[in-house]
Amino acid sequence: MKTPLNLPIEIAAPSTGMAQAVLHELAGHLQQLIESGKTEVIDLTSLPMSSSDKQQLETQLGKGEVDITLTTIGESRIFETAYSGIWWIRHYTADQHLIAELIEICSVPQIIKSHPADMQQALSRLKNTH
Amino acid sequence: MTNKNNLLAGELERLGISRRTFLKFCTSIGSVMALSPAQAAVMAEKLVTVKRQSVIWLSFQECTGCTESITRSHKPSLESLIFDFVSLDYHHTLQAASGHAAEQAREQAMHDNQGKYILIVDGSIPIKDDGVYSTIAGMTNLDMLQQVAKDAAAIVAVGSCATFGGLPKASPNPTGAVSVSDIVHDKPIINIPGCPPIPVVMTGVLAHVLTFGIPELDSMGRPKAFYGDSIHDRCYRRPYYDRGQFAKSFDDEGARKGWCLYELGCKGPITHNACATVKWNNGTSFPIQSGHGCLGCSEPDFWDAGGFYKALSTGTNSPGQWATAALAAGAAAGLASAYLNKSSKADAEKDHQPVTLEDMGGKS
Amino acid sequence: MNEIELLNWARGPGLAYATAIMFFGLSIRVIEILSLGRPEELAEVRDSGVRDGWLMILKRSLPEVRHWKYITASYIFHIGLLVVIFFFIPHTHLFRDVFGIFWGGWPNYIIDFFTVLSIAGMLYTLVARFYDPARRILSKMSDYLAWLVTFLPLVTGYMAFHRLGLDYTTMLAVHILSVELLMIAIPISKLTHVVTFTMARWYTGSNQGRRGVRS
Repeated sequence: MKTPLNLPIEIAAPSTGMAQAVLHELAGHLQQLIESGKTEVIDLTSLPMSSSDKQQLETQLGKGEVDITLTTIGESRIFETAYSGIWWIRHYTADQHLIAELIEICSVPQIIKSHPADMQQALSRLKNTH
Repeated sequence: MTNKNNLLAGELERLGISRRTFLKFCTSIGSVMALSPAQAAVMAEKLVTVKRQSVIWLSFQECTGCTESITRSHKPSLESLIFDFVSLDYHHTLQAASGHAAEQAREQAMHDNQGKYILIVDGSIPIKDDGVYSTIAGMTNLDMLQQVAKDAAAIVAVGSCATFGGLPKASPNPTGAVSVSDIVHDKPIINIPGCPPIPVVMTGVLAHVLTFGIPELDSMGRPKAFYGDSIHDRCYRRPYYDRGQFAKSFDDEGARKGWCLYELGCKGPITHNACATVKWNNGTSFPIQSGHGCLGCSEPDFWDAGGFYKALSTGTNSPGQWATAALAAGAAAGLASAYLNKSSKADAEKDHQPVTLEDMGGKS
Repeated sequence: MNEIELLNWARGPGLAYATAIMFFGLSIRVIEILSLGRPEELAEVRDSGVRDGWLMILKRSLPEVRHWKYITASYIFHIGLLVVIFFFIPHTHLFRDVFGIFWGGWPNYIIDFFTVLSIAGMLYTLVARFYDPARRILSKMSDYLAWLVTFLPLVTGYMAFHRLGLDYTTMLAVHILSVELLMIAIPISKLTHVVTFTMARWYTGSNQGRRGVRS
């Protein structure tokens, strides 16, 4: 049932030069992060990128030292690219459907940090157990 | 009373949903709605501080497909969270109460949240013969809509019936069905057409209303974030259209290769909806991906816009018959005119008098 | 009325009325012209005139060296228009729907090419009509109107296909309405030549032939 139908559907995916434009934008954002500490996020799903554009961008950015998996309803894969401060984030639903794809320019992606509200709740739980 | 339990934050805690999870939810909704990622983070922080929103849901001439779409298409997921959180004070299909108790719940909610509740409507409103064709608890749909709309903060018309009249309005429209915006003119109305609409579109719009207020709407009152592009603009088969590669039948080589379905009646070029990007059943597929053209269900009068399987460029009133009739009528009129021309010519010839020398002043 | 209602009207009642008016009008005009017959021939008829009739149709359809620029532009525009009307795939479906015959269409890039050619050709003829003193004197308002109603479908169709100007739904409606305007204009203006041009040429040619003048 879960096996995908193997329909011979070809999808035109020409390279549009979008990857180069994104790289250029990333350089600007990274400089800004270094100089003023301002973080930035690029929503890849909203950009008119073909699959080969995205492939090209991922190949050029490469993989860095950190690779994180979040397990919230569905997985999220977060890795630092070979360029420090540039993080690639993919959010999936429980059935592995990609719902958001972002590049975050920051020292640590926002979603990694523990939220004060969560920590507060953790504290009260801890206190209750002892 | 601004108890923490009245806020979404409390609800998240109760369900054991971390802020991290919630941020992920808002990021995905924001991405679908083309919000900037920064706005999505703001949305996440804002949503947790909003009060439980009172929602009154009125169902008129409808098939319950819209309710089914929202409530059943997802297994418990992030999207359904929004619906868990709002206080759905009246929905006659879903609520436990019935009869007088149900109507009392509606009146209570209207009273307690006067001017602040959100009214969701699915189904069209029949207005012919004083609206007798659809009544709830002895009250016509028309009266109920006017009564509940009066003190609503905003109205969300869900589905093609509530937004444009939909199937009940299809020719010859026996009940005189009209849309919500045909009746209510003094309240903000958000139209979410579709037969049914995509679940995440409904939850996304609701999340937007709760945090940032009413989203940007187009000329037909539809949120631009979801209805800004046509199916055709975002269709993955678009390159085949541009190259002129069309499936000619549902099982020819073109159909198997996934070519454009324009010739098989796809209404994608004039249909504004998010099916091609958001897709259905948790992003599994959408009609064109499964090999069937778009019916245009989120556009006004889609039921009367010609055959579903006839190309968009064809006429809807069988112009062929009109052409034949006109040719015959024209031929008859032409022959009649020819006869008249002939007889006036003959008359002219008969009346013709040769000019004599005398006429010209000479002598014979 | 929103853009979908406009489109539905154009595709429905609008198209039906325009079709009826065009066929009714053309049918009257052709039959009326045929019924006029020929004037009585006072001299001895020397030939059936059939051969010369056909020759004239052919000859008047061939380009001339005289005014070659104007004629080339007219040619380009006429051929382009015929190609666009009869071979753009969506159009072929309309004809299949109306007449029940289908001849298949040509790829969009070919149609696009001919559309641009036609538009350029038409613009040239307009400019020439305006700047050439002789043509300018001969041109009446009806000539410019005939040009306009022919030009509008070309431009609106091009814009709709390329998603220019208004949104696609509105543009498509405007395109269809402009075609309907053209259809109505055909039987009541000089545009009737879409059917009468062969009749007129055959008549002239055969008349000459019957009188012993070679065409």
